[in-house]
Amino acid sequence: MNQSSAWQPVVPSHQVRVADNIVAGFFSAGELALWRGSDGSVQVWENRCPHRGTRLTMGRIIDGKLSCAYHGWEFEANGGRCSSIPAQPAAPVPKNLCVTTFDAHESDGMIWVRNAVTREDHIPTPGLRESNSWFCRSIGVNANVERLEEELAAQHFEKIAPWTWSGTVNSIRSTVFICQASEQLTFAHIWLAGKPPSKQLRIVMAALGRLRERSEKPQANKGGK
Amino acid sequence: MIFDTSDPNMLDSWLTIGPQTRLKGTSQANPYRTILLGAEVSAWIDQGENFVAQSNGKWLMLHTAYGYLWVCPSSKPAKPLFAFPEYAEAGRRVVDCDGIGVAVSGLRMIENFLDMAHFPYVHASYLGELPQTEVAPYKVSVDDEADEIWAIECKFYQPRTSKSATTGMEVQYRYRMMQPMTAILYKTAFPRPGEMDAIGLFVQPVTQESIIAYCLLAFFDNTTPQVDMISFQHTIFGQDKPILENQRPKRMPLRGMSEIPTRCDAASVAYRRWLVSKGVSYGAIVD
Repeated sequence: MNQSSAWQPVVPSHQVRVADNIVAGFFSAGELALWRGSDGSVQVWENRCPHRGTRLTMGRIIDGKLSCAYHGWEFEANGGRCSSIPAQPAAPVPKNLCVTTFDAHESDGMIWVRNAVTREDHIPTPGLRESNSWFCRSIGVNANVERLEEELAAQHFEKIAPWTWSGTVNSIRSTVFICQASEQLTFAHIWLAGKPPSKQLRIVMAALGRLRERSEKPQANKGGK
Repeated sequence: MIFDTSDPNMLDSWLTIGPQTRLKGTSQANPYRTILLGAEVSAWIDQGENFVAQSNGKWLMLHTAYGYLWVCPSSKPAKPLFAFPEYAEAGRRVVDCDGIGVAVSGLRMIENFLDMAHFPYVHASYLGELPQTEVAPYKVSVDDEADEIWAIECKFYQPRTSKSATTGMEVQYRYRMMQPMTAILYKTAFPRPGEMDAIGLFVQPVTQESIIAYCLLAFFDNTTPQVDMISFQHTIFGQDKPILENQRPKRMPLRGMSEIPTRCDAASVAYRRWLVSKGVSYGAIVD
């Protein structure tokens, strides 16, 4: 149960489609742009074009490459190498011109990203089956990870693997993947054992809203001040 | 609140606080209020019909030129306000497009203004069009006497270069950087291809990471309604705004290799080098 695992669950796998969309993600080493190459392999890149700093999530995927929104520079999957600078089509692109990339791994419905600063090879694979068959939603919480974990524990959730909590929401088995984006911003990706009927789903959503509210009040219900 | 910088490139220069028309109907009791370099500035027309400005209870040196208000924050200007002869040139029509707020460093705004390579992407079907993406080599020169940079012999194919344009054409461009926060571009006038229209970009640095970008036209165009000319310019600026606001970091990195230019960025490279040589730190990362 290594809390400080370098691998963090950033975005649900199904939200990133093959050679189609670009999804913004956040983890402890910064802001990310996630997409898939034509071969389906997930790409996790720093969300910043090496040319003029433009967020790559502003761009689009053309023929299996990411094209930056500002100047149309194209970057290749599996390495992030710049393959085209449209403003000077005749000149060769410098070989070392690359986006900063991160190692990625997919398991349990999530894209896990390794913070490259630490070198850890153990990939957390909780191997969940039932409690994460249906993706409910992601929530951003303006609190640090410890506050969110306290609230999950108060709801009788248990930590079953790094960044991975298991419990029930309104009697439905649930897995919550958490990811610390910054000192005061933590994401929770909530999965349920199955899609509940809409009436029950509304109750689940309200419970998740309260989870966020309580996490964002550090001193709530303590000392009665 | 006092000015939030010690950068003499800001304090000793002329910075705009908006068009002169802002002072219409103002008085000391009811001034025009704005923010410059993080400080509140008030300006008004006093009883003697003088344009005056104050910040933090202190009088500021205020100058009016080209229909705009210019403040020298230190009241010790390093040089006179730049010349803009096209403003008063016979045959030109001056149209003030007013300002648009952008959450980015003013330096990034000016750099965007000097850039042709983004035309086919950010201004598609106006100032550029795929597959015509190539930026032909151009020249950059420094005017040591005026302390200004010029990019000349620039050209780019544009499907619709201005409101008056009815067809695409190869447009000639010249860029002039007068101060870190002001620039003028000259481009082929569609109705009179032998002449060049002028567009002034005057940046009011509100903070290091937020600005108001004002735009003033001096065009050879006597027919296009003013509202259409302004609307065209706002369309262009509105296309740039989301790109500018999604540059990370918001300040321009002037040290290191975190942003890699290429040959067609010659104007941007010269601009950044000029900023470094002056020791500009406001709106920049210099560590």
